[in-house]
Amino acid sequence: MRERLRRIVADTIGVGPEQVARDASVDTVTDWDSLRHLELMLELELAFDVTISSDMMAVLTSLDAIEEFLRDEGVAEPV
Amino acid sequence: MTAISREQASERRVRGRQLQREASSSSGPLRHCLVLGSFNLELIAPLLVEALDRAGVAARVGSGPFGQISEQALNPRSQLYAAAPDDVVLVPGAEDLLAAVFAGDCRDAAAQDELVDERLEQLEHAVGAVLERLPQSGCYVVTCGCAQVPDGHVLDPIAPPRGQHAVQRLLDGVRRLRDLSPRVVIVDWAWEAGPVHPDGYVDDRLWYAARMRLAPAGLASLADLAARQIAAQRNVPRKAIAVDLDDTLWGGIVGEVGLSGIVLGIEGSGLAFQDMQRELLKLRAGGVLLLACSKNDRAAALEVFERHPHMLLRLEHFAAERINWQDKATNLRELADELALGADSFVFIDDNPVEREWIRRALPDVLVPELPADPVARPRAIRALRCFDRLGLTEADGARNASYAAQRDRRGAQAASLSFEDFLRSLDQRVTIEPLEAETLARAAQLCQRTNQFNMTTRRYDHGDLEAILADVDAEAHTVAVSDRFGDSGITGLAILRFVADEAEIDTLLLSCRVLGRGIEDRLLSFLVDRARERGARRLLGRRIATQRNQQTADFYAQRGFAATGAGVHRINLGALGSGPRPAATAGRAVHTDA
Repeated sequence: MRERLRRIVADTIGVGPEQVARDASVDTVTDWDSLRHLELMLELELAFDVTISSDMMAVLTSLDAIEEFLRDEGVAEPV
Repeated sequence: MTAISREQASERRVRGRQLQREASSSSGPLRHCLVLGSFNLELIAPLLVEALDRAGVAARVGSGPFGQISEQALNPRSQLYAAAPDDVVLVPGAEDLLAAVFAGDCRDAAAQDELVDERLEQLEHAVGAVLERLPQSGCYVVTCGCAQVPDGHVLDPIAPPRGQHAVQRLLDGVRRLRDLSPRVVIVDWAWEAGPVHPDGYVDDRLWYAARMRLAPAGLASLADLAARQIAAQRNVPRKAIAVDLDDTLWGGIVGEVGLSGIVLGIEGSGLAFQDMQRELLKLRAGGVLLLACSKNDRAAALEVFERHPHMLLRLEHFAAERINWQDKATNLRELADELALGADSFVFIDDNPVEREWIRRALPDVLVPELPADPVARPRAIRALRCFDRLGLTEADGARNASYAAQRDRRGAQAASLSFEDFLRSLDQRVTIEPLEAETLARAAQLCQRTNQFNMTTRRYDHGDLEAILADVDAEAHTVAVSDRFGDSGITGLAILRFVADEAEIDTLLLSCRVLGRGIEDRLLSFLVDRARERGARRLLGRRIATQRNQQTADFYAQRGFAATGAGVHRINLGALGSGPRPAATAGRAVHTDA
């Protein structure tokens, strides 16, 4: 799950996956700005078939928070 | 048009982002587009890059600060003018321009009309300022409706509180901005997508978070249409469509089932075949040359054209045809030669996937679109072709097929004449050379875009470029019109002279292939010599820029007494003309009659 998330974040933000640490967040990835964040939220919705509310979007600013949210939504680990 | 899904928009964004990254590391020329909206459009950049790339235009896209169309346009020190983009895309959203109506503060018909007119006037000023300050740029104005009508509880479409009428009035007014200048192109997205955005095109979260009125799917749809029009301004549309006959223009193989056995009529798939013919006639009316290319029993096929009661297409609608048992690639090559067109001007339509694949391999420059197996899906497929996109029509477009048909008759006369000179005389040819003016700009720009073979420099000037040349005191442009007893070819040539100190340079010299080989190029050159001398130039320079298509111009200047100076430039000393070699024929007057 974490590896897939890293890849989605890297693709959306437009950096190499190596630039997105396992514990990456808005504060640690320079290009993860508010615009990219919105795009990332939309990409996550498509990738995991979930809906992210407006309030939740404001909270999901780190890989940890995103993974926790996806688990709560019942998204299973890919086999 | 087909709505774009979230998934498609996501794929396009990813591809667009990749293109943006590749572009930043390469040094190729990129068109620069700047998008200015009444709302936040930052997410459109990769989508427009991708859409432009699909349309054949490599571009970089930026967006200016939102909600500031007028400020950016009217302030000479704005970001817009600092960027000086090639294309400015303005997106005035109805919800922003008519905010008072949407807020429920303007429910009275007269007040709404007043507000709409005021907004349109502001927009007109903004567009006018962009045109003036960016004389080389295209200005694309997008019609953009709303997520919902202002008051959907009122169902009467005309009732002012509903606001539908005000939105339509605004959109219609935006469309009329096209009258300001040929450089204003209306991207009528509100017609394509609807004045009320489809559900998937709007995301309220994006509006509240970032003032984005359109979600990526909506932006992708808008970008697609804008890109199509930006590309139409630059790309050369295909000129000819070559069609198969059996199972393409009618159902069945006429050589096998006979005239009465083919499927063609006013019902069912017979009507679909007839509609296919209607689409081809529409293309023809827009100036696309219609060609038949069929492996067939010629007599049986011609009988269909002559005798089938439901045939819309007649043989005379075709500029040329090859109905025989030859390989189709050979036939297409012959058609190209006959019409003096390159394979890259051709589109080939055939129901048979094997023939399509063969042509793709044998003639890679010919565009071979897929054709649905089901005939009822084909009229729509023809309408969906983008290779004939052009912004508007000129008078020459409507007359082109007739002009090529007249060309065929002229060839007949050429064969029968005793000598070439006799032939020219028999044509009663009139060559009219006139200064380029506003009325002929559109046609001249079209010639710059389309002419490949007799084009010395192949400079693809567009409308804006030519306007700049008109305004330049050190340049002059002249159009050439040719008529003869077979018909009027209209404006078929263009020449541009530029003057620097005591030298004149032929910046552009082009003639449509329809009038080549009739001595007109020499008339034009003589005329340019006279013009250069009249303006006091001591030397005339002729430049030639070689392309894959203009080989025939290689020795043009050398054969006419110009001396090579290297780097594609030939020079003639105007003082020496009186005694030395001089271009054929005498010029001086702008109208030449061969009779």
